[in-house]
Amino acid sequence: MTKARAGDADAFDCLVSMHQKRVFAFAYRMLANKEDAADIVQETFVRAWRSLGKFRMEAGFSTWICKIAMNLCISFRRRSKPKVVPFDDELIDHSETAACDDRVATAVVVRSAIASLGVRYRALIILREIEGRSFEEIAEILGCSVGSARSRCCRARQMLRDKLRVCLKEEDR
Amino acid sequence: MKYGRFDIEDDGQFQELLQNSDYVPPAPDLRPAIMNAISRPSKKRTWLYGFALAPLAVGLLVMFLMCRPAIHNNDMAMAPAPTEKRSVSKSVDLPDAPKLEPKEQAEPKKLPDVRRSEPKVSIQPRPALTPKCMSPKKKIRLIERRKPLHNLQAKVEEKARELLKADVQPACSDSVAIVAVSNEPPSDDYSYSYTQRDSATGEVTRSAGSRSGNCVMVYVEVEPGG
Repeated sequence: MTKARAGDADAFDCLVSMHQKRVFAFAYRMLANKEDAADIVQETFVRAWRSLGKFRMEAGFSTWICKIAMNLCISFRRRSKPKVVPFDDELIDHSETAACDDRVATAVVVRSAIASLGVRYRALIILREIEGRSFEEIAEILGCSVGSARSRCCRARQMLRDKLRVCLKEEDR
Repeated sequence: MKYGRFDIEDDGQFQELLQNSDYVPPAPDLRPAIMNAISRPSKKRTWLYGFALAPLAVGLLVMFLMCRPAIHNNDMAMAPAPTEKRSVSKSVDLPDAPKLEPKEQAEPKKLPDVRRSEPKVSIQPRPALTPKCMSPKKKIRLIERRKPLHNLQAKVEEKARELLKADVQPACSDSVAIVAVSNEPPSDDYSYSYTQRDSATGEVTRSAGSRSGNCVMVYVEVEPGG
């Protein structure tokens, strides 16, 4: 990290190889599109390289880069139209056996419900429930207090629950 | 409320449901693209340079345009007078008309070789256009305050009294009477008057003076004796 801050491109290359999968996963969960996620990852690391001087070593590099990625995803989502049916195509391609049908159906519904959330609440669900980050890390990423991060996560979870309840009732009919 | 085998009301099971539903395709290796992107200058920075240089370029352009008319006027002044071009129409040979010899074109007048003097650059500092503000502590009085003259008045009165009391023998045989009258209160304005009488000729000289500000007035009246 110190070498990368000093302008060592090879050191930064190591950082990219260490963190690109995680950043890509976050971006894909946020945008539900592989190409868009790859663009976001590239832009995230380019911005990180240019802003390495501003990076305080107090926070982890993973947290810092996730913050950049989240802001880029929010900007991207504001610019572009949200997709109507996210995740479906790729998920169905990977489900080969009939035994997986229920799991696939459940996953599609859950992910559709997540995608229907607002972009900030979606980020909170991804960070907390899927990636399992701590509230301290989430607070660092959002730039708010830990208590505020906790309450926002709780609200996001409640909103997702409500959406899933609606989906469940529709399936029962 | 259950969703499959997961109870969504339970926090643990809810989280498990979300994690089971998660799917991320294998991430492509973006390292070459990233390293290539960071090795070349960004477009935004190029725009920044452009924005920074734009005012400079505009300034240079404005200076050039401002200097241009002056140079142009100089060139016009130094250029030789333009020769008048006349359109030559085909002449028709009239029977009575005298034949005109073609006039030789006068050579353009040669102007004296006046070389443009080189512009002089004044390096003297220009005086400030606005007067310097005086600080309130350094006020200069335009009219100096005069010293009070009441001491002088008292001295005059005392001297007159002494002269009247003393038995003075004048250098000449003529007796001189001095009357000093000055009862002005002590102030900046001062006035005096006296009467001198020559006992031999009987000539009386009345003199009066007053001073007010910068103005001094002296009045002298001589009355012949007899």
